[in-house]
Amino acid sequence: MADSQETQIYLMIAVAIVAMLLMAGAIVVFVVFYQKRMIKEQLKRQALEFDYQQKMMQAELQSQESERRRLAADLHDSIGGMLSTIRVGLTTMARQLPDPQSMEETKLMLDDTITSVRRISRDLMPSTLEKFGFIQAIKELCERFQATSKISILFLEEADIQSLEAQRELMVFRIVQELLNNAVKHAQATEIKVTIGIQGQQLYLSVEDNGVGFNAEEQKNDRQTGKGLGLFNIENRARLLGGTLEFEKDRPNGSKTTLTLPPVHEKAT
Amino acid sequence: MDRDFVILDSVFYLGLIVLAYPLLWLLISGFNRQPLVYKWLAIALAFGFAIDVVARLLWYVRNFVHINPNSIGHLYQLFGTAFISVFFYHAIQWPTLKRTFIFINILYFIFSLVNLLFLQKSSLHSYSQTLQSIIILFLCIIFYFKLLKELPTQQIQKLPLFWIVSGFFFSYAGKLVIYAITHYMIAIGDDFILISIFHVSLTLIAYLIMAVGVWLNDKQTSPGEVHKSIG
Repeated sequence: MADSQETQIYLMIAVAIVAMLLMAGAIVVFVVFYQKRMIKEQLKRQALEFDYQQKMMQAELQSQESERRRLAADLHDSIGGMLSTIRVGLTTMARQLPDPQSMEETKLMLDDTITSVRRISRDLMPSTLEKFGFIQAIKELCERFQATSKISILFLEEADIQSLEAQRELMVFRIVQELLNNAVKHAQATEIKVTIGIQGQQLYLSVEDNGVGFNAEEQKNDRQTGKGLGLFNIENRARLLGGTLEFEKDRPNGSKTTLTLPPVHEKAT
Repeated sequence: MDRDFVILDSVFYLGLIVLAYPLLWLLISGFNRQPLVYKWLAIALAFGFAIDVVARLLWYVRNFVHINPNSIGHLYQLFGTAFISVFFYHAIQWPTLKRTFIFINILYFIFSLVNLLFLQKSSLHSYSQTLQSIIILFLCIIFYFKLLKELPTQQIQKLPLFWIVSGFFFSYAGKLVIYAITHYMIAIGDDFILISIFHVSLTLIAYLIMAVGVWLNDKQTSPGEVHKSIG
């Protein structure tokens, strides 16, 4: 084979190999960039979905809260007011009776009803929360739970906590309320400790009891019986707050749930 | 001519040295704890390595042992492609393609056997190699397609299998040209040394790219890490 012909053949082979390698390279580069683009779009889609879910959740919780507010106001102002008027009327009627003591039991029952209505109204929308902030409201909540359940509830404020936005304060309050409710109703605890403080720049809040404990995962999966609904709501609220909720596992007894919130901000004015 | 032989030998041995890292790592230090896909990769690479070494030895002792070193390559053509296919089957993890994989491999095996017995016979196996290259390139493209479909990771360059498959892809893209013209080159009386240099260089590139994949896998599967694969 002539040298020039041989060189030409080798050159053609080399060019063909290089062309194939370039084509392979182009395909690989295309895969890398296209994959990056797809990932970016997927993340964007996920962010939109998450945002939508957050808004839906927020709207749901807001409507729940406004319904509670309306109910609380109706109970306090309307039914509470009417019961108080009836109480005055009863007292007046009792004075006119030959035996005023006969009305005493009815009056006591009415007093109990008025107290119950006030308590329900306060549970639905605590006025302390709006007037004095969530720390005071939680403290009051603990006292109330202690008084009604006869379980020792210790409230510890480990740092000077700044107030939060009204909506956030309400969500934190609802979380504590639900956790305390769970501890009192299901934990068979004799002691409950509610701690609030700041670690790093994060606000943390924990509810710990010495009861029988619970498996958060099992409870969450048990929505059919309604048992997991409370935890579901707690988690939703924590998510809306941008915080994390941790159920301590592997405890010898009792349970501890800790809510951690992102850095504390000044209350919006 | 002598200089060409030296270059050919140098690139060939460099390729074997580069291959030694992934091979030793896969076969000795991590074989048992590796998922099937890496076990099959190790088997395919080890088989190719053994065939290369035996063929080279036969070349050195050609004056004493009268066996054509090329004939040993037929063994690789008959079984090596099946090992690589099984590796790809586990890398792609697409059960729907199981029948296609089996069909392609049977078809390829029959073709290689016919080539060995009736067409190019024992001296040459470039027809089988051409078909093998097409099959492997096709499998690489399926792998990339599945990668884009499933998006298993945010950073594709951190996926070991992506590097390993890319090694096969680059190497066989170039080798396809060589295999396609081999028969013609032999027919016109070419000594094939320069073409062999191209061939071993492409193999070296493949081993280098694969070594990156195996190194990444080594990093990611060290105790406490979770193995990532597509699918």
